[in-house]
Amino acid sequence: MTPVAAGSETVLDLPGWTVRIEAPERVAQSLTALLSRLDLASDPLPSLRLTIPEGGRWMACRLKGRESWQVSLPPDQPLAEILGQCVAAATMVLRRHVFAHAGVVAMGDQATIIVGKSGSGKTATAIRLLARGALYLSDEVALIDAQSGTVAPLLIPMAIKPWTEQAAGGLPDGDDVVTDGRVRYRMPSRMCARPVPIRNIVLLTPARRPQGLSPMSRGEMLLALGAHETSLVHRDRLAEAFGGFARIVRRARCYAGQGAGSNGLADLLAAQSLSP
Amino acid sequence: MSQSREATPLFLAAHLDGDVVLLDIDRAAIHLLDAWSTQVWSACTGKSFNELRAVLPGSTRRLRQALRELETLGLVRRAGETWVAVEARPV
Repeated sequence: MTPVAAGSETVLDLPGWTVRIEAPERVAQSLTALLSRLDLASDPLPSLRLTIPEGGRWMACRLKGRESWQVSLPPDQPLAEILGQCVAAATMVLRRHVFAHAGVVAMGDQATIIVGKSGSGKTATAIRLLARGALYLSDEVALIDAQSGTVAPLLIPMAIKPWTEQAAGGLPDGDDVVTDGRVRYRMPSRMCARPVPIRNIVLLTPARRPQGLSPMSRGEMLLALGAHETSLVHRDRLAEAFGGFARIVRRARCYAGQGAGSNGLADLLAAQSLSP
Repeated sequence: MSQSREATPLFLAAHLDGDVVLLDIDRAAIHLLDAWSTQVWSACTGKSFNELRAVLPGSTRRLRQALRELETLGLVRRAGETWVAVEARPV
């Protein structure tokens, strides 16, 4: 993928998705670097146009032939919001996949989906698993193909805040792609570029006891997915998404994890991932 | 879960290891029914309260409470003296 600058517009022609960015040069370069490994060829999306004026106080997003919307940007570390809007735009128009706000890693050719609210420790837990030999698929969104029971990679660098690094006991092996204030966007060196069968779904919950991994009923997991940011938030795909998540949950092992980011939880998850 | 039910499916039902998770399509709400509520819901095939009490275990009070909760969720409705479960298409 080579970004093409057309006037003040940068055109990112990614597999399956064209993103047009009209923004100050530094923002356009950062966003280009963050999105450059995305491959959505298996679920092609309508093109996205992003407009951010000089000063960067707001951004406008327009999906070709679809919605357009505008959001204000924070003065500090705006990249997280800009990237979040790009990912949100993509999840809005998925056709083949359903999505869940989650981290995803693979061990032994089977994926573990780590679900939790923002700040629950998904990234720190994923980093701990990467240190135990897991491969990286996604930091933000699980792209789930319910028909095949697989999760596809969404290779955007991990957003690592100082407290995430501290909770994870360090950074994953890899390279910083962009830094934005105190946030490092780091692409792990060990990543997986193909869909992987789903084995575990883990819901990170506030600690009742440290470093625990408890079996969770499939019914409770499906209910929990309904309370998180998933394709179930889009009314037009509600029935399809519910059916898809039911299919996935029926095949997966479901757990509630406590002590997010801890060595203990990561050890338990790694053991579950590699057990027969 | 399809005998003597309403014609229009308003719910999708995922049967998972004895639990039933229901999607209320109109309200975009998801409910988890435990084994007892599922049993009551399944029995609502046009039976009266007394008929339900005769076929279900548990106290009258517990049955009344379960029916009230299922009715609040829109999963059963009264048809005269009888109770009818709303159609839920399995997924």
